Amino acid sequence: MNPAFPTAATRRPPWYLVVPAGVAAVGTVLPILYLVFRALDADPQQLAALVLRSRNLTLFGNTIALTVGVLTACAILALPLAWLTVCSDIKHKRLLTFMGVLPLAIPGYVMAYSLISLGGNYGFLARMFDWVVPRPRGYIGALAALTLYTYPYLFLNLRSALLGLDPALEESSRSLGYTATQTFLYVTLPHLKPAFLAGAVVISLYVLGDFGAVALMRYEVFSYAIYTQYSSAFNRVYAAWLSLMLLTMSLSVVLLEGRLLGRAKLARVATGVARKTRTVRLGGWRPAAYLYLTLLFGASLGLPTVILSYWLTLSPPSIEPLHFAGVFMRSAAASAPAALVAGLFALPIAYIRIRYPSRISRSIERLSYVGYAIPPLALALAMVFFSLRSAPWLYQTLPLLVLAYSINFLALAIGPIRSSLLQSSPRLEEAARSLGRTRFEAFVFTVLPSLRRGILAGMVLVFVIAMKELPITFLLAPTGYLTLSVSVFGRTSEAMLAEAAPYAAAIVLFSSLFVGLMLKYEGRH
Amino acid sequence: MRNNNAQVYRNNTANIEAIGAGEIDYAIVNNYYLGRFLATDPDFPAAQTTFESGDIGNLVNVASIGLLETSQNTEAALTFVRFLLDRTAQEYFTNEVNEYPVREDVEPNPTLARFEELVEKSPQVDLDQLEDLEGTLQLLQETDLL
Repeated sequence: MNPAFPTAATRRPPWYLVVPAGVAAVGTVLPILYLVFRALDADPQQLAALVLRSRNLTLFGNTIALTVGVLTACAILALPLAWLTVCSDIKHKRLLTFMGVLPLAIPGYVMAYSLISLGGNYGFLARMFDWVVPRPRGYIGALAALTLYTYPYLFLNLRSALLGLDPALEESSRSLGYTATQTFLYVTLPHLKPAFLAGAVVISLYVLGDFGAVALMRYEVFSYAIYTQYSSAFNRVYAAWLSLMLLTMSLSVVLLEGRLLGRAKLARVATGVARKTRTVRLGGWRPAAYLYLTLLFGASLGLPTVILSYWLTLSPPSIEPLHFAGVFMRSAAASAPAALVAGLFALPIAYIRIRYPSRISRSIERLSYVGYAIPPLALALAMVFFSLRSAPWLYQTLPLLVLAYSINFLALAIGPIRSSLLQSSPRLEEAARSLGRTRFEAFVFTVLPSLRRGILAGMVLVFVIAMKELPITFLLAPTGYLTLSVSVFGRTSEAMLAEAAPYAAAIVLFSSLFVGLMLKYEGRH
Repeated sequence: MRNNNAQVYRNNTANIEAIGAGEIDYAIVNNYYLGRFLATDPDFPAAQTTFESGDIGNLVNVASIGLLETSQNTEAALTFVRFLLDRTAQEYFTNEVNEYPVREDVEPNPTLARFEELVEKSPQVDLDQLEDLEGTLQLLQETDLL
């Protein structure tokens, strides 16, 4: 089984990959130092009172319950959708895929607010249909809101894994006597494990760090507690301690994923030979599939669309086109560079992690998840501190905002690239090397083309998420730099729904345009 | 308040929305938020009321503006203070923001209760004494409200 080429353990990654990967990793860790400094400001007596509060235990339990709940719900939503859009003979797969990714374009606070606006004596259902249901709140409310806009992370990962799956595997399984169901359970599902874990990590970290939905639903988790500490109690020390506790949970998630992923070898032998995946005929299951799709998209897309339209009818908004265009451009001008930076750094990190597995490359990848794991509010404050202390010329500038986005979303760009890498065999590169190409040429001509889908998916993901990002934008945008998300949040939190609707609609429409572009490009690939 | 199962909402507006939704019967908010709800929707199901005369819940508070002793731009700051006290600005606060003017030559907002009536019902509190942030936070933390 030993290949004729040096094994991974004896090879060292080239410097032009290690240096950017290392820079990114160190960059993401800097903010934590701020949290530690802040936390150390506490005097011991106060500290004991803060850290040993029984309330922390409640927060811990609530946070765990919410994360597990959202993950389970996301898996239930995303797996059938991924299977339907890749393996079944359902019609309009491209459109369904598009709709499956689209919820990413909907800001979490808009999703949560839509759910809340449905119920109550004076809500949408009561006023339109005389139908009074209680407003969703607490655990169920937060679970519903978070699941409805985070399940696409899992869907994207599962879908790209299913697409890359070699149909010969399933055929061998069938020819050796497994039924279709057995094949799915024992052959297909295990191959989806890396994709599932990649999606699960991103979703877990999102749930741990989100404060918009949990604050609106009034469910007390760590991030909500941090938010109230920062915003009303002004207790930076307790907030820093809460952040560190939350960070410990996030890092545990990342470590757990690494352990679960193990050393899975799931690649085909080469990229060129796979045939198109055989499609499974739905037959009598077709109505069930359509019912599922209707419910899923009705809740994740229909609901916010109806509520946004309803807000628009409440009172016709008066929007100055020029002002609107300015707000829009500012959002894009901050998000696009961040997507580019994140993509550029994610590539070397994912590459050395998969091709040169070592303690160092694993650490680098995990460190890059730290940026995603820090609660956004804490990260933003850390960036303020960092710039004032070490780089005053950066304070209150666009590059600082872009930098914060890049640190926060780097991990998002790594997932898809890593999934693509796992499915493209290193033998191709080795063949290119043996035919006389340099290592760099082999990388450019054999690896990059097979990663195009992953890189693009990662960058679009970052762009779309940054367009609707709130807490970091709120704190770091230069004075007067009014973006879409800030406009939406400011207005919804003051119940100026009609005024908020056009900006929210702009975020959704624009982001969906990009999602569409990505899928179109991918289709041609 | 804890024993009465008081609910925590994130801001004044969310409290008024919760009254509209029927989740709670009362909320303690600044008076001017309800005015904005009623301006866009006269049927909004919430109304202003007061506590018993002299109750702390009837507190009449002032919105204030200050000038730092260390200010480098005293002239500009003073110009801004004058702008805020100007009749046009005070009319704006009165009619658009539903607050009470500090000038006698500004007509009070007809949709609001008379100012004299509110002052009569308000408790005797020295506003300068309302500064113990630490003590307040400690109380909130001891009762697990924060």
